[in-house]
Amino acid sequence: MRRENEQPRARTGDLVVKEVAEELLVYDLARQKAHSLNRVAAAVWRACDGTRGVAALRVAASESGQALPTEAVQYALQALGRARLLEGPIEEGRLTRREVMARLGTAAAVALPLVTTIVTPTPAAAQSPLTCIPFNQGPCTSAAQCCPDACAGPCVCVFSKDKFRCVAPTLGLPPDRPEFPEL
Amino acid sequence: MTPEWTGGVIARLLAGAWRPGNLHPELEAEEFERIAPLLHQTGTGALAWWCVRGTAFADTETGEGFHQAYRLHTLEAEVHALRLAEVLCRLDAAGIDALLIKGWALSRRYPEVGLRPYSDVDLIVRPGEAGAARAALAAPPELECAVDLHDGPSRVDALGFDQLAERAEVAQLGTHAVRILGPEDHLRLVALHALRHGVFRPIWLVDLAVCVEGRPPGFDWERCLGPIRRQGEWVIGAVALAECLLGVRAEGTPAAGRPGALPGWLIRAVLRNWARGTGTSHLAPVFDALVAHRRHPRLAWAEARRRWDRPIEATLDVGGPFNALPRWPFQVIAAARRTRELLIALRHATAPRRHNPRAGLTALVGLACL
Repeated sequence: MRRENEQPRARTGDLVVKEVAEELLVYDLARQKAHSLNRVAAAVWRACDGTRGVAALRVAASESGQALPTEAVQYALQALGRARLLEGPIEEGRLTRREVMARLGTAAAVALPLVTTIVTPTPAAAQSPLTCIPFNQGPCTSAAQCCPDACAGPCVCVFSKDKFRCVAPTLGLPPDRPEFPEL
Repeated sequence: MTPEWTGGVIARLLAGAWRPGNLHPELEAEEFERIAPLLHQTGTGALAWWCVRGTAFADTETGEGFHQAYRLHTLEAEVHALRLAEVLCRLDAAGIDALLIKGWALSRRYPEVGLRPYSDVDLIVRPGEAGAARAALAAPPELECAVDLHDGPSRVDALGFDQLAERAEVAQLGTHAVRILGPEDHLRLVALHALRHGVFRPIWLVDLAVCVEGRPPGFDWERCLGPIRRQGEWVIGAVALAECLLGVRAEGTPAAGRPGALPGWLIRAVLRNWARGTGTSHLAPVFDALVAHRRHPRLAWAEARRRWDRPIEATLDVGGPFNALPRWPFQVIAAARRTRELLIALRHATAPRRHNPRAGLTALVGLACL
């Protein structure tokens, strides 16, 4: 748990931030991870300017609407730290979601800060250029980075033309095969 | 449940999906669950979320999966814009004219840029300038996106670079001015590109729908259909297909009233492709597939059958019309062309396969059925 006098600062470098509907989406370019912050977590994160302690953060984040209890702010900081959205080292938090919900009581439904890493358990992630490399594209460093359906079987990451690309394993390519067979 | 039925369910879900405002797709829960993997697989998950948001489907686990796809694509859009700006900046600095096609150029016409997936950046440069463009893009620091450079538009369009550039429009990407194809040329390119790949991704037909319904006043259909009559007919066919399957408002287009005249094989082929979730044009090259299945003639046979079933691509390859006549003559000619490619590949293959009699059988099966 963060100490009361600690003044966390939100990371700004290497992040792409987009606000949609009731959440804030954050893509970490350095770690290639996407996160979704609900309204409460987003309010706390935005208030982390490096000058506010937990109490001041509580006040600042509450200005956006919902009054936040201290536990909610601490839980938000813990989650933001784990997602590497705060500057400085990660501090292992001790608050669990269940504990925070118990302390918040009925307010939990609206005041629980949530930071969710976007991991789609579906082929959507496999099809996303943020997470995999399509057929004949690159640069790759290993076959594991290639999209599952890219090569009608296992792909290999080989140097072709100007860079390492995801291609199907082959014994040889005809010299007149176009690099990009079709648009 | 036939593949056509599955494709039809996808069509019902995506009907009108590109329009702002809430939709209320009439689907059964079971149908929704069944098509979900296919939608994810073809990059249509975010659009599916757009269709079901605000409905009971949104609260299901499958709906949440689509919501995640929407979040992911929304972030992709932001990241893609940054990377595109970097690409354009480098080309500008090298004094290279480039026209952006597909991707961002299309997504800006959707209600939200995150409704469409992103992969590489497709650019057409003046013929002969691709080398210089590649050099500019290869300079350190390394770009973090794949760029598909077309050395002139000859492989994607019948018009020359200067003709396309003259009709191009300028869009603003942050502080960068991006040259994208004019609406007429883009619609033609989007339609032909989708057909060339058998329209196996529903999003391609949605792209076309966006181009048709978002066309500006004074849109010149004659210019759009292009100088080659047959290509023009294909474009009309594609628009009619979008009207038939997705309910595109085709009034005022040459395709108006055409859905009834669309040949059944065309509609069935698209629905089958949607039910598969993959297209033959994105499979591994024939030679590679045969090598992979060299010890498994049955798999090679299945692969060959899969490759045979591409009547749309075959019609375009051969330059045929979209009429009600059987497609097999076009498929035979297209297969013969691909066989030539296979033979060239075999000639360049290395030795080990010659000593395997089953490999020979596999190759024969491939030759017979391509």
